[in-house]
Amino acid sequence: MLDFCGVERERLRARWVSSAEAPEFVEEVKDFINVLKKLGPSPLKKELFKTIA
Amino acid sequence: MEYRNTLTTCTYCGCGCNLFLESLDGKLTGTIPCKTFSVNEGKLCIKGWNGHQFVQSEKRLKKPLLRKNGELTEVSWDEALDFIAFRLKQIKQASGPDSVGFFTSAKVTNEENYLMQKFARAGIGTNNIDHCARL
Amino acid sequence: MIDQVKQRITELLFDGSVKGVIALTHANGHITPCLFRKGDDLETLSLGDGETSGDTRYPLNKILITIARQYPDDSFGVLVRGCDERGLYTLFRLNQLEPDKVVPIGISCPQSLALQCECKKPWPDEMVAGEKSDGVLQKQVQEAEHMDMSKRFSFWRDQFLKCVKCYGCRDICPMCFCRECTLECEELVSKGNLPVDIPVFHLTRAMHMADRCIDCGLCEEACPSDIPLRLLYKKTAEIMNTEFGYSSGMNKNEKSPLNIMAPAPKK
Repeated sequence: MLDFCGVERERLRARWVSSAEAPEFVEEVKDFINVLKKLGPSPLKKELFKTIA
Repeated sequence: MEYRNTLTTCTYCGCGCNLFLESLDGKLTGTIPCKTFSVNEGKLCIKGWNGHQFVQSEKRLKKPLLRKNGELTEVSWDEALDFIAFRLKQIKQASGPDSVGFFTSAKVTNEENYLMQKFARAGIGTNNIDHCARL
Repeated sequence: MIDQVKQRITELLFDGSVKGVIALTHANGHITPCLFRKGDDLETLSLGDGETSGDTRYPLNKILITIARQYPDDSFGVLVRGCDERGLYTLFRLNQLEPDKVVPIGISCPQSLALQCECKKPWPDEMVAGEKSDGVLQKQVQEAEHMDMSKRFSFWRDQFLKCVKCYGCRDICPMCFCRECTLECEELVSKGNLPVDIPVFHLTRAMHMADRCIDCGLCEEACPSDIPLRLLYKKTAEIMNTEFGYSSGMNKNEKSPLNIMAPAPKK
């Protein structure tokens, strides 16, 4: 749905990680950060939407 | 059992959107916008959609309340009106008619607002009258 | 068509199989949702055809829920089109209505209306009057996907910026019956400002409509800002269909894939 509305689907990630799986969590987050850096700033940045009322 | 959809005009602003107040056995259950009315064509703003809530709200006053010894107490209409008349006369005498301000409501009818401004201007003698939609 | 419906309503009221029939009537110069009781004059019955066919439809299922909640032991008849019947099947599944307490009085929609709605099934299974028109292929979603990412974003952003947060889409929806609505939860949807949280508000609604939306189009008709809501919900419906082979209300006793605990579907 995000993709349909012009927000890249890669910006949302859902992954189940057990609290005993710390290294996997770290890897997942590092990977996610790299993906996000490549995508650049999100079109949904707050500054772009001024409060009008 | 009685189910009704009563066609009426929204009381909130001057647009005049038409809607159906839905009621079941005498209790208001909801609002349905009127699709065939040219002003709103089946659409409403958030106030129009929720007008039915204030009508039978528990928060509405059922009896006049007068502050006695710092506490709001229920009084009769006669006592309330006597107090209002007495105090308004007193204030007008002591500080002049322009020391009184009148605040009415956009939710009441035009006729009720007319009466209020007549009372303000001809009764008390002030132009200090306004209502919630302008504030 | 209307005479057959009048006859059916008369039969149901006369033999006492229903306490009342929820339909539409002409009153005070407008088409009004109403409850017909035994002995009522059916001359003023309307099927929701104002100037054009089906242009004055109301959420009759929603009215049925309001009445059924107060009268749970009674049966009621209700005028249904194809979409309304999909709504009934879904409401049965969600335990908002009892199937043996509802008597649908089905009418079909003409091809012109079916094309306007891009309706997959413009006729109800339980049909009393009307001719079946052809279901229409879903193209609007495909066409919307021709836009590239930045066009999609500016398109939807501009649409969502128009939103005045009237909650009309939710209030008119025959499938919305939740006593506590997520869209009113302050932790998820911020309160007191416009524009509405983009895209949180509309996408949250779309997600909640995923296995419920019956594509009746009343939401879009109720939107004062003319936001193409139906297009958004048609997209969630397409995803549900592609991933799970599910289409809300198409089959009477089908459970929603979102409520079934099962292994992941094989692609």
